[in-house]
Amino acid sequence: MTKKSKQSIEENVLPRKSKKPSKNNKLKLNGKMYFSLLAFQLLNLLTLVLQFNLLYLLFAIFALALQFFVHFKLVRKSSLASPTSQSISFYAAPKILPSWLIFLLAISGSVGIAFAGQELGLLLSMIHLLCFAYSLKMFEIPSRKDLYQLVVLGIFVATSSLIFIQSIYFSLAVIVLVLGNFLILINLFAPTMAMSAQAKLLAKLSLYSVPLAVILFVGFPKLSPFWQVPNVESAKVGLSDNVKIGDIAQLALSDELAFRVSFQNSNPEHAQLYWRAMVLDDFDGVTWRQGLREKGQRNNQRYGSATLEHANSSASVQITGEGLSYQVIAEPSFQSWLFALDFATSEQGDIGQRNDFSLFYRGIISQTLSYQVTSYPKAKLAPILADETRALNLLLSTENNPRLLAKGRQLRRQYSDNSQLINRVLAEFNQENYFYTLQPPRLNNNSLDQFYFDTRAGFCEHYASTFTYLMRAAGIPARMVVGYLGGEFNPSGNYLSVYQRNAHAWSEVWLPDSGWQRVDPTAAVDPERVESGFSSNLMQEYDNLSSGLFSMQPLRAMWWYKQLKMQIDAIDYQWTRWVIGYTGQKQSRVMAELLASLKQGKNIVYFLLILITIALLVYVYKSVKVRVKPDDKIKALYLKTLALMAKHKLVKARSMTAEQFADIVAATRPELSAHFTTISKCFAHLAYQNFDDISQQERHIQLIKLQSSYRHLRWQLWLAKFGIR
Amino acid sequence: MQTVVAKILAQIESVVIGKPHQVKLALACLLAKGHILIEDLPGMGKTTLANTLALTLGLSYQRIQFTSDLMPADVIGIAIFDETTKSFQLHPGAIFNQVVLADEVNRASPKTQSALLEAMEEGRVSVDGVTHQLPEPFFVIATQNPMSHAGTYPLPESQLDRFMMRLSLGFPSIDAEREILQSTASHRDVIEIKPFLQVEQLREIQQHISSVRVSPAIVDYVIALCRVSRQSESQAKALSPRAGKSLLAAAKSWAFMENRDYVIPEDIQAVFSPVCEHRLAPQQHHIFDQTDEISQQILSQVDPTNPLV
Repeated sequence: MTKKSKQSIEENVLPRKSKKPSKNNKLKLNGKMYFSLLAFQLLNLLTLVLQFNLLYLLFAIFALALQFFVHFKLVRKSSLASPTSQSISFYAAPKILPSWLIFLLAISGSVGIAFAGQELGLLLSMIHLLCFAYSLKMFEIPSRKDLYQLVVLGIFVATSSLIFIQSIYFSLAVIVLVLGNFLILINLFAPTMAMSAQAKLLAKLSLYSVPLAVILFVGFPKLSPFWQVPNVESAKVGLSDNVKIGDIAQLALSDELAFRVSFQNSNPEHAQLYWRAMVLDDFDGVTWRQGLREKGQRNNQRYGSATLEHANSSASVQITGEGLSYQVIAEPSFQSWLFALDFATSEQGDIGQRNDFSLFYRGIISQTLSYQVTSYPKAKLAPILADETRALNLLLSTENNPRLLAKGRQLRRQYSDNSQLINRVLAEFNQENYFYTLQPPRLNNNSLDQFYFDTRAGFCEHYASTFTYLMRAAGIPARMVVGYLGGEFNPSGNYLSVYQRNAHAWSEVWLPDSGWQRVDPTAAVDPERVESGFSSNLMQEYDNLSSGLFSMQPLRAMWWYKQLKMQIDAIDYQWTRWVIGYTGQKQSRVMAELLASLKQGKNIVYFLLILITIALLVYVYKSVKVRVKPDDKIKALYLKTLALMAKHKLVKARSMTAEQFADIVAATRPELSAHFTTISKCFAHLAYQNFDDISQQERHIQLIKLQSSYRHLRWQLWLAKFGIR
Repeated sequence: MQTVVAKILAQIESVVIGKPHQVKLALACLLAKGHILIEDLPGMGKTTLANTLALTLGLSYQRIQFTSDLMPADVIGIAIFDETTKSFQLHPGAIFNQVVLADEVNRASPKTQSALLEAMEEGRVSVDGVTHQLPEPFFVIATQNPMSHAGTYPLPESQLDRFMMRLSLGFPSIDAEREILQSTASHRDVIEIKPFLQVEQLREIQQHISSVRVSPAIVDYVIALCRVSRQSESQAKALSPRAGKSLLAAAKSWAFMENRDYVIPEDIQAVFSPVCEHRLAPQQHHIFDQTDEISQQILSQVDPTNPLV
């Protein structure tokens, strides 16, 4: 803002403060101000643009465009009319729409939102109402009060977008936007201030609010939201509970993050990282589903507690070996299954376990969810198979894949030993001309037959389906498991990121002596995939498929690009883990831990350390602020002592010398005189007598002595406040 | 050395009764090689003090009674043609003495006053183009009646500045007055006072005083006092650097008399008003022990522990 325009604001806006706002005396603003209000309205609404209903979106765009157009015309007109006069560029907000129309719009809009409420859900309809009011408010700013309301509404709109998106970058953008809105408010309150001074004030105020914000974040009780976050992202990329052949290959092209894991101790090998999400045991020849037929019948048995205690007591699992603890932070999937290594237990109450050993969340994961899991990789799953489960996992739809069915039966006749049979199938995958590819050829109805006998090129779900089908045909209970394999380790953050492209499908077969046993036919076709992730061939294919207009391939290969990406990802991880993941549960846990640790004696030491650190910081700050010359330290201490005495109503008359004042103190407050006289004498001695032949070292020694006297004196004065002498 | 000074003080105090502070200041001033202006009503013991000071220090002494018809030649001396040597010979005036008591200096004409005051500043006199050195040490003790008395010529400010201190004795206390009235000693007895010092010893003492140490903090204090006097909104005159120098010299002398070899702010404060009041308020007269308003005001404005803030 230029100087001249500021002056004219002063003329036009400031006098209004003294007068009472009347109808004639309308709020006048600079054209720039109107445009920045419009710009910020646009930006604030943009943060929510993904959530908006199309009708509202159109309305908002229309309203903004209308406003912009009218103001643009007004500014041009005024500058044409009198290009020199500055005060002309200040004008009251024009009445673009008549009041009755605004009223009508408000009523009809609210009714419309109420009707759409069914579809939108409570939260979204409320947000629509807020934004609708925000859009309309811009048409009605006759006084300062309305302007403040407008800006505050904007801040609400911008921050409510954080309900939907919580990534660190988006959060930062919203913070910047909110600060921008605050800057507008400061501009309204103090229009004569220079822009840089306004920014400084804003920075100062924001800085002051940071400690408060931190305390509120850590300590303020986290209420669970009153609304159900709508399942707006059901179309999100991710695993689904019915897998058609080819689905996972599609998924493998997605770079989206699925979840992150940090292990408590060491990281297991890549080939061990089979993240089980769900078990699909119902196959109709085309699609794998979760056992639908069972649903509804025995809900009680299908779901159980996920605690270790429960697992120990149940007959379906034999836990052996060491546990592996880790924390998983799952991105919102808008589903309820969780990801864990076999066999997973969790002590969290909101996590349950199905009887197929996959974990699930008692609710919809609509926000980033952090949970703690302990897995027992050596546990024996279902040493005894229930008849029902056995039946389900042997079920075949016979009409679709006759050739495969025949092959399975033939294998059974050939091999009586289960493991020999399994090895035989895997060996075929390995030795014959099977290809592992992201671009499997299209398959017709008899998909598995076609794949196994003809095309022989497929992704993990092809192999897993075929294998499972073969096993069932051979009379071995088998099922498909989908989840993720491996992940990318980030050494700077010491965590594992699992992306959608790590999605994987494998099989489980039940053998009488070892229970459910994981068999991954992919390992037979492309061992590299299991051991270290995508092989170079697959990566090449991946790059070809995923690159759109320009290829990322050369960039991907660059060392610094990888490093940068890793660092950024690490920041995002910490943000997710500590800020987003700081849920109500975690909060109460932190508080409880804090209290418990305070009760324990040894932690008081830590507490004191923190206090000392704070004191030290304050001290450093103060000493930096005072900037005492090194050789004047004693004088500074004397002056400090005087200030201290003055605080306790012992004021040295200006013209009094050090010695005179010391005598007066000695006469009036003899109990203080010892330390005060020491300080005064030493100060006078060094200032007048021994000023030229004292070494720095001696000075320092004196200073230390005086400091102790000072502390004593302060203590005495403090005690004296309570009448203790 | 200090014991000698103490003895001197004791002797003067036995003559000038009841004014130990003024006596000490006067002695300090002389030891600091400064001239004194004693300003008071007649009969307050000005002359007695001056006499006693001169005699006790063992210096040659001459008194000049200033009158309105006193000519400069009477003070300085005159060159007279000597027939035998065929040359002009100086007949020295009263000023050729180590201590000159200029009694009632404000009664003389300005011309005579300035002759004396020039001699005080330069330490030498010129008669008919020939310069004659004055004896060493050379002190002038001038006394002055307050201006309100008729027939006086007030000393101009520039000449007041030449006096290191202006003192006033003031009325004695009841006890002192009783003692004065009862004492049998007459004015003339003063002359019989024995000298305590040789010139050599005096020089030594002066040497010693000039080596009294002055810390930067004290210099700062003096600077601050001078600066405050310059910022003052009242009618008062400002303190010149020469005033500052005199202040320091007097303070050193005072410190010496207090048995110290370094100056403390108390020394400055002790000598501040005699040294500075007549420079700050030349027209206001310093009688009847009036409080030295302006110098006290300046003193009260400076914090000796943190002078330059």
